[in-house]
Amino acid sequence: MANSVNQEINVNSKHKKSYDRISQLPDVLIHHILSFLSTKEAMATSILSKRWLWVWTSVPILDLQDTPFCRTDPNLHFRQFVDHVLILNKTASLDKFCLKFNLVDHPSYVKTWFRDAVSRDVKELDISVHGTESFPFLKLPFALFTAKTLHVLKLSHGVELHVPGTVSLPCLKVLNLVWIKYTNDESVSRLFAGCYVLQELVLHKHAGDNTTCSNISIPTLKTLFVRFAPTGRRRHKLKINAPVLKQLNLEDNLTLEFDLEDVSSLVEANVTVSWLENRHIPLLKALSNAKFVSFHWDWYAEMKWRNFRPYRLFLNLVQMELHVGYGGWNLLSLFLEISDHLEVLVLAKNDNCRGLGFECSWKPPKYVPKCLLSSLSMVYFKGFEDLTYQLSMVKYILKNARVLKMMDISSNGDLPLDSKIDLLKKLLMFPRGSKACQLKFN
Amino acid sequence: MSEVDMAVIKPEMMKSYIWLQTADGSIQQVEQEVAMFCPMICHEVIQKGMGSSKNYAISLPQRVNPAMLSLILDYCRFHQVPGRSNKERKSFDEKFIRMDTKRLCELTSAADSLQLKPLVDLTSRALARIIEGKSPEEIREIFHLPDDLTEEEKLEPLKNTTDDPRIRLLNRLYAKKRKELKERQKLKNIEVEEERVDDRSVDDLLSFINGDNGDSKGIKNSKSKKKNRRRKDQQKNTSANEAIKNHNKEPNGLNQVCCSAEVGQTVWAGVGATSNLHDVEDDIFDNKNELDDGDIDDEIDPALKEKIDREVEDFARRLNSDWPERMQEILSFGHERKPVHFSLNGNGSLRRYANSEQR
Repeated sequence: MANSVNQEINVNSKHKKSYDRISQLPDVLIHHILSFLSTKEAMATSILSKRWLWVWTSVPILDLQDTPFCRTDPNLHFRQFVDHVLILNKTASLDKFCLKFNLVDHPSYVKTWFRDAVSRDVKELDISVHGTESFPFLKLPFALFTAKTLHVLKLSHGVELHVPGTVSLPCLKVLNLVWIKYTNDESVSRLFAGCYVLQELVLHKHAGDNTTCSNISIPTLKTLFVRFAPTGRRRHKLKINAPVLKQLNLEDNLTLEFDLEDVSSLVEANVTVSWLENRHIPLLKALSNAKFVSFHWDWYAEMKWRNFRPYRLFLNLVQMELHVGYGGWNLLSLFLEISDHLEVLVLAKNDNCRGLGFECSWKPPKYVPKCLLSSLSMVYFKGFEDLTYQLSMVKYILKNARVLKMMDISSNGDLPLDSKIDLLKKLLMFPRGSKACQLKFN
Repeated sequence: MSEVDMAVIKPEMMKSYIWLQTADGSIQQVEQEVAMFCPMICHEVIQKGMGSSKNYAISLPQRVNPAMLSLILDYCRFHQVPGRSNKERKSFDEKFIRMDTKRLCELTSAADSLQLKPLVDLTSRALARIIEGKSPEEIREIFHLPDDLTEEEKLEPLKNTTDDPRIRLLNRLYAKKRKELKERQKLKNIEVEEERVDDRSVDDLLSFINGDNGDSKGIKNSKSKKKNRRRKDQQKNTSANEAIKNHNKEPNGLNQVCCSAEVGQTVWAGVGATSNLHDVEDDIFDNKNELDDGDIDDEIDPALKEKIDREVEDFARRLNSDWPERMQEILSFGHERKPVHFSLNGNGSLRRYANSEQR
């Protein structure tokens, strides 16, 4: 009897074992799964079963986050927690070290953490600090700036970029500097000078970060996302010298002065500004080689287009998006005139300015632009408001575009149904220069 | 071939197929562009010229059974089409991933053996999402894991860290600093804190029961961080006393707890009057090793200190909840710090909570 009971137990446990699929996965896969959890959660798996006791200690990713804005004692606990984790985790080669914490005490202990990470050949560092009144900013230890294996570096919030004389980051490909403070204008230049293979830069800046100009001169840069937070009218200079830059995303809410020395390889540019004015003319000129351009603005100040008459046309421009705010529709005529090979045009009324600008006007180009005659095939109009100038734009394009395949108009939801029907009737009556042209209406 | 011959060739012959063989012996043919989406198959075809006919079918790794192969091919068939938008792909992935955990694990394994990294990432993330936020019991139930660790084994990795010389050094430094800060605050706070010991503990208990991190409530209520730390330490020490008494009598006896709680309280009040004790209490709970290093004033008999430590640990081990928080606590303080379950006033909710822990 005892035997049969034992056999039963054996069968059951074997049966159960076959259901435990996850423990049968090789260590590498379990590491991969645990790498998507915070280190605290990964650590908790150590008590699941014998198989899981030590697995978490070899996960090559450390994700340590303290509860934000915790200003008092528990910060000491987080500190000790991190110390212990660094000792328990045995990985010699750290893929990623993500650290988010509050700076409650003098940050000398943080240096140990970073040195540990660097000594483990860390590939990606993601540091976010919440400063406090007594310690508003964290200066990173210099060891970080000579990390031979670092591929990705992300710094945000309470960090002060204090850069040593020698910076050597031979593997750094991606750099994010988000809302941090700088010791001076040179600190970021020195940092860039030490990045020999930097390809992607994300830069979010705010006034009061101690800089008066942003000099982005990086010979290897391919992607640039720059954002300036709105802060009132304080002059700031933006210089970009990036000969292999392919994509530029720029958000200008400050009063930026543009000095785009070399962006000749640009393929895609997405620009968002609050006030479109004369100082943006150098920016527009610099975009002349791009294939895809989108321009998004809220307010428009009368611009002196004489200064713009480009010596180079936008010969490569294939797709153009204009998100128009309060005025500035004449940019449409301008771009139609200078983009001989434009194929896709997207016009949109900026959501921020809906209902504004009903008194706007639009002047058609003097001569029918070449792109309308030979290349423009798709036009999208989003947020159509059934206003006079909008109707005249659509009418002009429909009439003159010889190879137009589709005109897609979507009104915003505000229009009542019968107005929509009337509008559709009106649009259908417009003469079309292209026989193949379809009209789509939403 | 003449032009006429070319025209006669059937359309099927223009489409290429790859022959695959799974570990169970069954062979099937799959459209080339779909199969080649898997790096391992791609490698076999290009580098070794395999898969062109039934006789030269590519042997797939053992981890890929026919059911998994079918799923993987569905995945490849969708994703190898170049024109799809990111939205479409994401939507497909979300629907695709809906399966039981057993199949998810098998799929992860199979995709890994075919080196299909995007699918491995997709399934791994799904499994991580399942694990996230769940208690150990829940995880064991979902994945059918055996509960084959003793309580002692569970805590072993964490305990070992306290013996590490680096930790001892760090702890010594922290302790020194804390002492300094405490010296300044000591005289001001001592009277106020003694009165408030009881209230603090109850608040802490209730907040713990309600699922807060044991410390956070304390933080909100305190005015200065030093005050708060001392309060917590006192309260924990109280709990420790309870724990010890409890352990000695009957670990599962709740009535015992309540009685001993009151006894302990009286004992504590007397003990707490000694000002020097504050330093020591703090050190006992924050840092076992520190005592060993003899860095601080030895006001309590070391043997008793050790005993207290051990009993606290032993007792706390019986509890099994909220492991991530508990582990963080352990690593922050050197050992367990949640005997709060059994301290002081036994109101209804306390009892209930304690009950659930008695298995």
